[in-house]
Amino acid sequence: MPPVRRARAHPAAGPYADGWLSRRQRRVTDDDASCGGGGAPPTTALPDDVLFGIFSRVSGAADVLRCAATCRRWGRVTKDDTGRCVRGGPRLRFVPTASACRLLGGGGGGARLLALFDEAARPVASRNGRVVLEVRRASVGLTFSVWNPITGDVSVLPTLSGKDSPGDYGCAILTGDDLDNVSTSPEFFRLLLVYNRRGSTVLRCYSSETRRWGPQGEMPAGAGMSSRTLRQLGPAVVHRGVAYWHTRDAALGVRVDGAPEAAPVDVCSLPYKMVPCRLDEHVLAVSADGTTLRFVRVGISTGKRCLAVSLLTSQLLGPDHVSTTGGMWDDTIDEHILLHEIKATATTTYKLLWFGEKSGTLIFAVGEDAGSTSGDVFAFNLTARSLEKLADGMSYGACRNLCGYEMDRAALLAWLALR
Amino acid sequence: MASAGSGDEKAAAAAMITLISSDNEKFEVTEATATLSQTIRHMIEDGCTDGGVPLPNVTSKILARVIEYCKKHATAAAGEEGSSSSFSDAAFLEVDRAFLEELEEFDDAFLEVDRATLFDLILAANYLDIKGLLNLTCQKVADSVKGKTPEQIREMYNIVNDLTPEEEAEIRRETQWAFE
Repeated sequence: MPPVRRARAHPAAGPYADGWLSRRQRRVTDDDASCGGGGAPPTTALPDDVLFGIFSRVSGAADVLRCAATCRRWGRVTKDDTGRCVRGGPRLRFVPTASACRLLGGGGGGARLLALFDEAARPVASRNGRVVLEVRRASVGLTFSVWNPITGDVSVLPTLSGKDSPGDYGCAILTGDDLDNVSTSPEFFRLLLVYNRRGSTVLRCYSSETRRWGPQGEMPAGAGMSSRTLRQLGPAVVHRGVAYWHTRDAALGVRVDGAPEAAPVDVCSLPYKMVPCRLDEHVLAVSADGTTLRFVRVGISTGKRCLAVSLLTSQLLGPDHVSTTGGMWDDTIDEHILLHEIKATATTTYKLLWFGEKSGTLIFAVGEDAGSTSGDVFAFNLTARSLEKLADGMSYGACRNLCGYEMDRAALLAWLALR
Repeated sequence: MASAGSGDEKAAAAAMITLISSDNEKFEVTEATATLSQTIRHMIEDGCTDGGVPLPNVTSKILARVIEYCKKHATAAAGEEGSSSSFSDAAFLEVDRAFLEELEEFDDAFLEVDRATLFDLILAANYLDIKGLLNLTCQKVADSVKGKTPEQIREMYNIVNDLTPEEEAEIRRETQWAFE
């Protein structure tokens, strides 16, 4: 466009004598004038966070490693920043649970569990050997990476920035084992997001084959969720290719298609028969044989003055239960387990954090009293009825950075061998 | 980006902002275009744009390109805003897709620049906090290193290898798989 020329004093005469951006700029490099260096681009002029932004968009881990080998600075930026999501995998802390240790003593097969903690890259979902990590950077947007801690494979998904960047969201990962009619390639996965955009709730799906986010699809009328609900949305469970989230008064189910370009299809809502419940008191689960959706509830047994875990089974309408009408839940309690080790009064706070479907392990935090902002983190295995403490006095905020990870025996041995 | 109500949109359409490049060239743009830059958006909110906005880190050559990008994408944002109520309408989706394709073509053409200009655009996008442009330009650089050896990357971006031969050997040994 042709510039509009206007008689005006020198820009320095404006309200900020040394240029108004100087007070906002994060980092001023000394190499701005290096453009003349033989006509080649002045890479040194790029601030570290911009360089990081570039590395985080490089699709393959091998490509990033080769970038890291070019010079000290690039090596440092990839190591310091993308180290957790690209170079050699995220720096997450694994806390092996006792059941994982017992597994080495010759116990039965099946998946066991490790808990993940991290401050920088937040684990937001975990399923079938994959962990989904969220890196939110103000200047770039929201980036997810899908990590397999055993193989070290990392897929960094295209950053959702600007108007594409969700605020509060729910996230679910589905792998080849979850979907029919797809290749069972170990690289296959779908990442499903549910979030609000301009007042309506939308769904979006990433496909590992096309390496793209699909189109946004709007939720049917009446199935929208408030941002507050989205913020509290727990981990999803997957049952017959449908990801279910637990909301206050219904399980929200979203069927994901195996076709690479497909938008999430078929949304259903399965209303609960019981009174609306707090989101952090319940998690959804799938029965050990994978046939029925279950419901795990934690409550306080005021009579016994301890915490209690209840298991409820859903009443779903046959195999084609995924319809817009859905089925009704029955709140028949199958099992009621008292955790005598955890003393509780009516004011004790607790939060359910994660449930591992294969291992039947529940991770939850218990605080002292109503005003607690932190709690002790426990893992309770429903099958073995074993309880153990994973962490003391963890803030509820930090609990959001905790995610379970189930691995089978072979994977666990492989992981231990790598240490 | 004109996320305000329709009344405010009219006012925004009328409001013009003057941007002043480092070489003192003046560019007059609509507020809707300018507010694609978060930095300028904050300036407008703070009421600091009277008499023009000096951009001492952006040359007129680069600013002209940045404005070209913002104009195109501001139109896109406004178009989407206006029709978001008919999101589920099939006819609208068709129009939307055609427009998005046009926008993608624009972006592709926009990136047909030499590396020095690309880097200047990245710096300007970072400085002005224009997320879409930063994403676009950074992705272009990220794509350019795909499958390249460290030597080729150094050559492309004029990087001085300041690693000692021992350090380089160490890196290669640690991450040998990436170099095979």
